[in-house]
Amino acid sequence: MATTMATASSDTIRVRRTAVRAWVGWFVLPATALLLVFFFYPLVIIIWRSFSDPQVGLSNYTALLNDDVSVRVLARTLYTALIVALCTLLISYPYAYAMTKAGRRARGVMTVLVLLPFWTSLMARNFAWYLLEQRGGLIEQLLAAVGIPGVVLLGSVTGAAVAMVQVMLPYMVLSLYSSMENIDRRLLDAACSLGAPRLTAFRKVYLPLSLPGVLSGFSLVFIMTLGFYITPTLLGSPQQALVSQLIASRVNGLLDFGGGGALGAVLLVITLLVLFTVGRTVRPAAALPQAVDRG
Amino acid sequence: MQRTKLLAIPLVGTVMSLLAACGGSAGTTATPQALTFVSYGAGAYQNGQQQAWVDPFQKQKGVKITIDAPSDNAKLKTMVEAGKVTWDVVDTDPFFAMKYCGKYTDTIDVGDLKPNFPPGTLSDCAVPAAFFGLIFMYNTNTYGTNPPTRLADFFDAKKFPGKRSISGSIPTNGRLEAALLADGVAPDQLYPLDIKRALEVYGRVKPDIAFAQTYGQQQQTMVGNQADLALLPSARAYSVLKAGGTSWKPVWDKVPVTWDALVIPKGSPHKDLAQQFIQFASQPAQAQGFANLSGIGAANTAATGSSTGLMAEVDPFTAERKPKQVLLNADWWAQNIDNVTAAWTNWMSG
Repeated sequence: MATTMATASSDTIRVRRTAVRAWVGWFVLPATALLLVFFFYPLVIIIWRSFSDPQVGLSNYTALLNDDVSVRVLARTLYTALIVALCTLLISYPYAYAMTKAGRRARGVMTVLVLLPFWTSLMARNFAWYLLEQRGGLIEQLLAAVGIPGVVLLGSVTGAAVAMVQVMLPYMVLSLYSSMENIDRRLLDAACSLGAPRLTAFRKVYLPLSLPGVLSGFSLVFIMTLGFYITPTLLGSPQQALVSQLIASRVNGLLDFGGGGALGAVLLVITLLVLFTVGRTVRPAAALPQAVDRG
Repeated sequence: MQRTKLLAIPLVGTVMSLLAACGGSAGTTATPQALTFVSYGAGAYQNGQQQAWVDPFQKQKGVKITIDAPSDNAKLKTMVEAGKVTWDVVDTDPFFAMKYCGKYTDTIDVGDLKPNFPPGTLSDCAVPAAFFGLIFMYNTNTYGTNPPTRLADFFDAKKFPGKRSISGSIPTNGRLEAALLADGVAPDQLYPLDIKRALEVYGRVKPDIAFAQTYGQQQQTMVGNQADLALLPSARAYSVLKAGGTSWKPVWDKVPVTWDALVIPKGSPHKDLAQQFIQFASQPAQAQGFANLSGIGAANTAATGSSTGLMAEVDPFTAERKPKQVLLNADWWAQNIDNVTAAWTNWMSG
């Protein structure tokens, strides 16, 4: 590749580049068209209705903010998403780290293990959790065996959260891995050779360098958990409803399209805020302030 | 060259799907002799309707009826608002149909069938399709020696500790009435419903309630011994017994009775045929045929027949159980359904 590039005249390269640039426009067309027609257009309608149904104005939003239940459910949803993202991170970090250290074959096996549930239907996994979490199910039996009887996760927000962590695991592991894979391990050796104990080297060098992966994985899981519908519906309880369940009951029960849209819009704003914050934070330079200062 | 070809495939696909999407809105030229009937999806209920109503009507009229599911008020509203109604006859709750009569649902002429429905159940836009009783059941595995005997026991966690299974959907199936009856309100004093009081009665056992998101889930909960007490529609009780949940026994106290209705969405392109279909389904023979197949109460009072076997065990519509029935007040519900929905949702998710 490099040799052909070197032998080709600069003119040819320029022509090729322009051709590629022209083609790029075509490449993104199908995705753009799909997004415009099936995502942005409905989204605009939903948001418009949240301001215009039943009457034009902010009534849906003021009603939402003055409604104890909506606010409580929103808070519960944010809290649950935060816990789920944290748990997923704690479980995934050592795993992704081990993947970078493993040999080629072991890494292949580990990747497949992460992706295996990913390839399984979400519904199948939800029903599997349903059986595990139900009264007399495996989880209750196991906990009873170690002296904690009577724990039925099914029908609680905890039950839904446990399943969501499992569903989200691949997203987190892969985000972490792709970022950790690019960390130059010689930096750790350098730190050690300068007298840092291994743990300090990890804390001061490796951890900050892996931060972009942590943040992107965390925000991905957090955002996806915010809007999760099917798992909380099946494994959770309306008593501890999450915002997606509340939207469904607004739209289907009350036919309150405006109110449901307002809830959706608030969720969207929260999501965008998270993305924006993460987008500003995730820069290798920002992640490694000391290194930059000293450099 | 290779690349160009590869790229062409998704491009052509996108363009074609876009064209198809645009074409759909312009060319809705269905043949007049077709009808779309919407029910709740394969199961004893819809299968009963298909055998007792849809199949014979197709044969008799030589029309093609498509069955769609599930019935969904939000979807119906969207169709009518968008002016693209593809549903002709929809099985749904009568209160929605009454509240939005003339707006989302169309008026229906039932001809000489008018006196054939229980008083107060037929309205301009909603024709009763099937009756249900909300019955109280208990699990004999849990209370074999000391079974509950009255509705009030459902709300007494001290005397009858255990998980209580009810639907978490909007309580149009008599759940509020059941709580008030259990609390001592006389059947003729029920309306206007004291929503707050009914929710307070449920509040006594709220930590023990397992809310089911769908009736299917409630059946699953009961058959799988995940609950000890339950309030559920009679047709669902029959499904529980049929699916092997025979440890469940009914308690015959007062039974709130509600019904499902057939409605015609406003702007249905086949309104005449839809009306004929509803009149056909409401005939005594068809109503009874549906009842026999699915364990519901026949909508037509002239229908005669009796349930047998498992169905009889949970049939609130037999002659000797008739005095226990308490019919829901459709007018009150049509006016108050939004209040109830808001109060119930807030109470439940709070």
